[in-house]
Amino acid sequence: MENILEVSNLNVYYANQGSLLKNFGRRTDQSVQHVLKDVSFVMKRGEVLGLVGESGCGKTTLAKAILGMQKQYDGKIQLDCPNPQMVFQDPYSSLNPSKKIGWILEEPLRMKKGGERLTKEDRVRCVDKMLERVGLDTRLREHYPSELSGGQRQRVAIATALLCGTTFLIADEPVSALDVTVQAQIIRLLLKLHKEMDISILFISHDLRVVYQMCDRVMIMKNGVILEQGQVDDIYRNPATDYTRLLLDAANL
Amino acid sequence: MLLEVNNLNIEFYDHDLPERVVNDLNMKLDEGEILGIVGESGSGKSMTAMAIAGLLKRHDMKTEGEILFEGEELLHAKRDTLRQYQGNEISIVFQEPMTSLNPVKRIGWQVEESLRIHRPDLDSSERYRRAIEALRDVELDQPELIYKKYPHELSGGMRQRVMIASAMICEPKLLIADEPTTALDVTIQLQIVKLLQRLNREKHTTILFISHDLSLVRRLCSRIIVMQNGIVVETGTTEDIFHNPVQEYTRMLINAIPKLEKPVI
Ligand SMILES: Nc1ncnc2c1ncn2[C@@H]1O[C@H](COP(=O)(O)OP(=O)(O)O)[C@@H](O)[C@H]1O
Ligand SMILES: Nc1ncnc2c1ncn2[C@@H]1O[C@H](COP(=O)(O)OP(=O)(O)O)[C@@H](O)[C@H]1O
Ligand SMILES: [Mg+2]
Ligand SMILES: [Mg+2]
Repeated sequence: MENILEVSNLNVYYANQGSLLKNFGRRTDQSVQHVLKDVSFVMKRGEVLGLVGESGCGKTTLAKAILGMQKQYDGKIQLDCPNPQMVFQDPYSSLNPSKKIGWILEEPLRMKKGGERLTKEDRVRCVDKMLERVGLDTRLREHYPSELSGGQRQRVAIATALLCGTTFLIADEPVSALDVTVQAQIIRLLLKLHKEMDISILFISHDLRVVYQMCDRVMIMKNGVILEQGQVDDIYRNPATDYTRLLLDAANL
Repeated sequence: MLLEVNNLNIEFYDHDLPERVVNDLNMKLDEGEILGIVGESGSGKSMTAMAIAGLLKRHDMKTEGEILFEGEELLHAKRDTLRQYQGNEISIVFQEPMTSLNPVKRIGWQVEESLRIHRPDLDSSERYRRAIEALRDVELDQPELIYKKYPHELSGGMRQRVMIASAMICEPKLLIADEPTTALDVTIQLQIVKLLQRLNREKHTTILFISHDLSLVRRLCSRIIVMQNGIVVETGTTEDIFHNPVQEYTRMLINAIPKLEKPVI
């Protein structure tokens, strides 16, 4: 299949617990929040696709639905990748604080499906190779997450995702919590890995500048609706909606 | 001259080795000015801000130098003296509004806090009137409704506006904004920057704006101090810093501003 991902007419609802109580457990229209509204798009294999919108518009909900973490939905999601991976915004809560970096990175290699299990030496070799690939010193294997900076942790999170041998990565605001200098480094890293390993990336952000650097195509989302999608250059040059213009202005373009 | 910091040193003693986190820092702030401090995480921006706001803890650390606010030394002043300034003449707004707001108190109560301390003569109806005015001033719609809400019922951007309202309620001369927009959407960041600009223009509040993002600092500040590892490495007008950066570090911060071009890999 040429497309790695096809989403058609996706609708996601959350039960709004506050009003469920008020309505004595009866589901009324008000007790359900319609979060994603008729979302449709395709993603080509090897593409970096951007998803832009303000907090609360439904970006993470879409990411979870694609990864099968959102059981309740209408519509169709076809993902042609057996082990999709995700990197989250907050590098401080996404790594197990009680394990050393080496242990965290070896974890996906311990559960190798099919084929034979890797020996400890093989695992360490793979981990070291990946650490170098994401620009980290192999000595970090012996450190705990709390001893790492935000940027280093985000590199570890990316390395963990890639050690699973995936071809599809969702990066959910991976740089929003980082210093701008560190943001630039992580963007470069993701682009380099994309090039070297040919992974498809769904890149989520609220900053159109960062999306321009990363992505081939972009989707603009507001209140769960995709307002427009297309080539980054086209959309930045000729935004079709006032909302896109507002986002462009905020990004100082 | 509103504020003058001379030879400020801050050293921590809570580890085996003493750690100097601010090293011989000097700065001046004129009345009505908006000054920016930029630098990467850990460069000592927050420690400088805390020292000026009189919020550094007194154990496990050593401070040297002087902080003169309208000529009055504050760095080694008595707690009682400091308290007269905090929230009254000098206010500070932090990065994460959720942790600086009290989760079990209504917004109105928190906005009025400095009034209860510094304006004990005001009765509750006057406090209410001023709180509503402060909430309206930070462009929150329906301030009467917001007044009755709890922090978790507001978005991140609204909470940051509430923090600014609380900081502004006694009309301080100096507002310190320590990465006030870092956790927020770019659209909201822009709104907060415009709000600070307006407060500076209309109320003549002097602002010390701290950020790791030079693009925001450029929008807001007339002068910039660049910090690296606790040291001021460069200072100048915004124009100068952007057109003739002297230090390699400053150039790196400028280059880190995301641009509309694909990085070469
Ligand atoms: N588990 C959940 N239960 C109920 N509502 C949720 C849940 N997760 C998210 N929401 C709501 O769905 C909307 C979209 O959230 P989200 O997908 O996290 O947005 P974004 O990632 O764009 O900031 C928000 O209004 C949010 O409050
Ligand atoms: N309690 C502490 N003990 C020792 N060092 C500390 C302590 N708190 C902060 N620091 C150090 O002080 C330096 C400056 O921190 P900070 O002023 O918060 O930087 P910034 O605000 O520029 O990110 C950092 O290197 C940090 O690790
Ligand atoms: Mg999200
Ligand atoms: Mg800080």
